[in-house]
Amino acid sequence: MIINISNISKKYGDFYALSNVSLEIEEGEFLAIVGASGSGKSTLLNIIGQIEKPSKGDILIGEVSTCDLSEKERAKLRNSTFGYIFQQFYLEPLYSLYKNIEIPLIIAGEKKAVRKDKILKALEMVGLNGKEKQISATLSGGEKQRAAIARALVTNPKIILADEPCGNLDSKNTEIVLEHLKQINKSGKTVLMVTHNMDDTSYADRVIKLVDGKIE
Amino acid sequence: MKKSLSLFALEFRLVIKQSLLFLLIATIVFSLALGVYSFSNDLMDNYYNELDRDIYENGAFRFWTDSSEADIIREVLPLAENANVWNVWDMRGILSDVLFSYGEKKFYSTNTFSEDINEWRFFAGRGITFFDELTASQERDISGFAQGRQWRASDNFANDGIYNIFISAMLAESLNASYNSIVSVTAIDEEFAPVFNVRVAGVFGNNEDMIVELFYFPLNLVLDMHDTKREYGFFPPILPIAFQINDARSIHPFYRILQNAYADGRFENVSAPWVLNSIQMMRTTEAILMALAYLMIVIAFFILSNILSILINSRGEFIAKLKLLGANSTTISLLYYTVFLALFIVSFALSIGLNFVMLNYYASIATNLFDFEFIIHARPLSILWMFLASLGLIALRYIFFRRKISKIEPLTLLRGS
Repeated sequence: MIINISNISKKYGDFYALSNVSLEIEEGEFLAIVGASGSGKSTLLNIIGQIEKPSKGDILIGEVSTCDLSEKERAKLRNSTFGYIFQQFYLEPLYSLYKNIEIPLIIAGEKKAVRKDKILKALEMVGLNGKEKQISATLSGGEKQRAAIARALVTNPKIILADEPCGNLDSKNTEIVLEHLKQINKSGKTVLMVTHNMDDTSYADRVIKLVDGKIE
Repeated sequence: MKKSLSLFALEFRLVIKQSLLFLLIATIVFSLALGVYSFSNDLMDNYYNELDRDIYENGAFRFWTDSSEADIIREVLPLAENANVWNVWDMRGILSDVLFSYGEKKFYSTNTFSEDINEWRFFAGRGITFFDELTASQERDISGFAQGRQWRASDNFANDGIYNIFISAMLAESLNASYNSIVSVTAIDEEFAPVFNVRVAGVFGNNEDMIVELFYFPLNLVLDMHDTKREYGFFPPILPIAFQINDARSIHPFYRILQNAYADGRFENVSAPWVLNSIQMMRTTEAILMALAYLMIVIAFFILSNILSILINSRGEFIAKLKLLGANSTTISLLYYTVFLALFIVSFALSIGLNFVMLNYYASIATNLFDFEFIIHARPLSILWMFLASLGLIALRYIFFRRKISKIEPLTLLRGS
């Protein structure tokens, strides 16, 4: 599934977070987006991931033009096509691991038995098998991020979006997470990773740099 | 909906923990609402039962009509098969009588008057005046006072008939007659006078002596007659409407006439019959209680609704996460709507249990308030009706949830961090 970004701009008041950004991302590519703080990299990721709408331009996800999608269609796209990994993990702290990972499957309408199977497989994939009943607030940072990866993978999306996935992790856990992302990419998924750490880009196939809302 | 129910299973335990106190308050308020509603339902029934007992013991109302709108022509008295009713009055205390006809029936009122205007009563039915123990006469002339008169063949007195009469206690004593006894009567005019039998269907004296029902005309008719008598010296011969009532519930048409008469201000010097005043009071009381019950439902509903508003506000981040992961506003709104419904059902179910426990207590309060014994029933239909009324309010609330949840965006989550 190719992602075709065509003249995307994002304006907040008079400020342009993104300005006429065009980009094509190949299926199965591992793309790293780097830039200084405020360069627009997270905004670009959000727009690709249908979390935000651009002020101008269009994005084609496969054959689907996303500029005129309804809220319901965008939500469905988020659930079926994208998996999200964030610096803050965004797990539900009072829920168990199992329940956290179950949420996207419930939204996707999967049956209970199927959900169980997929959750356990996802947990095994990230090395958290046996911890499904543990409350997510009690996990370490590395475990939380791995749980977030499991949640991102459980619906088998084609595209993984990772926004500073190692921002809150130590070096050891950073390496573990990046390795997971590499493995995910090798399995055929497209991975888009935003990072400010150039060292992290070594896992990527391609690196683009944003400066003041434009691709350098 | 299935997605919402699955998400609901995740959220509900959390909700219950956060909302226990409000849930308890809502339960108590629902219980009070049920109690008041049940009480108001039973109020008029209990009152009418008491009223019927009082009326049966102390007197009743009877009117005749063939008006199509008053489907209340009934035989009031447990009389014998013969439908004729004869009223009798003593010469003592008699001042006048009234002849009136309605259709083919002729009615002669029997009146007793006193100095006290509140003791004017009119009795409907054919009148037989006993001058002494065993003679009777019948007054037909509208302008005359009851002086006694021979009846005619057209009066249809059958030789072998038994006619029911009401006689005063004094006359009963002099005839040595009592309730239900048969008395033979011989007319003065032998030409037309068969000897016929009368059954003492009622003995009247004062209220305490009543063993059958008295007849009362609507007071506006009383006043009409009174006014006419004042002006013309006699009572109007024809009453426009007379209707029959056999129990307290049927007083309503009578009550309407009285209401109109009240509105016309013609009741200044005449006290209304006691039963009508109390019916008015009880109906007002019933209306107030029903309004109070519904107000309590609204209060309980808002308490539950408040739980949910607090919940949505505190779970804003979670809602944003759900949206991030692909849930749309409809799914999330249905989730919290389901939560709200579950809270309501739990609260309402608990309130029914509490209500059953408290019913006797409510009944004792009602008995003290209304001065007659109350038994309150928690009727299934009342419970169902209150449940449905509450559900209606809840359905309206969905619109509010939907709007609030649609304003929460996943971006809110990301920007907030």
